[in-house]
Amino acid sequence: MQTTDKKMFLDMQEHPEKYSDQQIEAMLDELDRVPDVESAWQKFSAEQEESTESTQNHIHTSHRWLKVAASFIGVLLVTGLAYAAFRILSPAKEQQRTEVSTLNSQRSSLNYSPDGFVLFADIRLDSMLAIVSRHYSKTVSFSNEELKGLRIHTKWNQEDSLAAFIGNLNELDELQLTELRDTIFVQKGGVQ
Amino acid sequence: MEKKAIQRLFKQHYAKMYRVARTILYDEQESEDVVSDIFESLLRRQIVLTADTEECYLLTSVRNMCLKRLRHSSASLEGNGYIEPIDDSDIEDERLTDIDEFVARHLTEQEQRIFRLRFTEGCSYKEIAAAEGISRVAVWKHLSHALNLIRNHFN
Repeated sequence: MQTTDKKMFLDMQEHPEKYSDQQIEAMLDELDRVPDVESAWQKFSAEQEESTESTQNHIHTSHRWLKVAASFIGVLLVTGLAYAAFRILSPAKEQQRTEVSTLNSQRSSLNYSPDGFVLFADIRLDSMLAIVSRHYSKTVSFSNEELKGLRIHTKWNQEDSLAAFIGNLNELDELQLTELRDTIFVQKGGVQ
Repeated sequence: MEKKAIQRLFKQHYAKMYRVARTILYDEQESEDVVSDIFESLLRRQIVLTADTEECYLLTSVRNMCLKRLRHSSASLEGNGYIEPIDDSDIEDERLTDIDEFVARHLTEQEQRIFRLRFTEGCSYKEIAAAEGISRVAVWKHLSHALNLIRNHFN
């Protein structure tokens, strides 16, 4: 798309009254155009292979690193947080089967990334703690079944101590986690 | 995340992601870049996505990345030479939350539906028009009105 088109589209959005329905229809045709997904995938796939080869040869251009850095930021944006920022949704029992199934298929390929970060995107609390507790060789005990279904969206640095991870989760009013010997105890926040 | 999993996500969600990016950025190449960058990040990061939330996650990523680009291009246009810090994720998330709250408070019910169908669900104008029983041009005008309100409020 040319710059002039972009300017026109922006103007059309700000001042739709200046344009005829036909002009708007023409622009909507452009915006509604279905992209060629297969071609886009081939292009993306080829770029990734190129990138991998380049990495293997230790030939990194600054542009490439900037692009990787940008995409890294993109993921962080979605986490929505500093460490203490978690999103909790209501439990969704009907979704448990699908999620557990997905997790099971992923566990075998849960490779620890070199920089030690894992992003949990809207995941059940019990599923997340199953992964985290295994990393720290702990078991998990819930005082309340309902807590298992809380949905969490957060980032975990595997190089952090368990105490740090628990401290972050405890920023939530709804939760109180305690580490005692080989067990992580999970109870509702505010319960002594 | 493994390439095979990325391929499935890509083929399933690319069209909607691209559509949302186009609505925000307009530019075809920039929109393609945003979507590619998100999938590239998935390839390089260990991310656990669940089947029931992956679409929401990906479309939110698009919105975030587009807002970030707009903010950066706006800053560079001002020519102040200021380079923003890399980790500004909180700013984008707060902005999205503010926009969502504004939408809920100040838009009509129909505008809210149209806004969400386009930006949250990645529907085409044709699909929204069919869902609302109005023309595509009418959808555009509702959406333009909503976006102008948002722009005026946050600028």
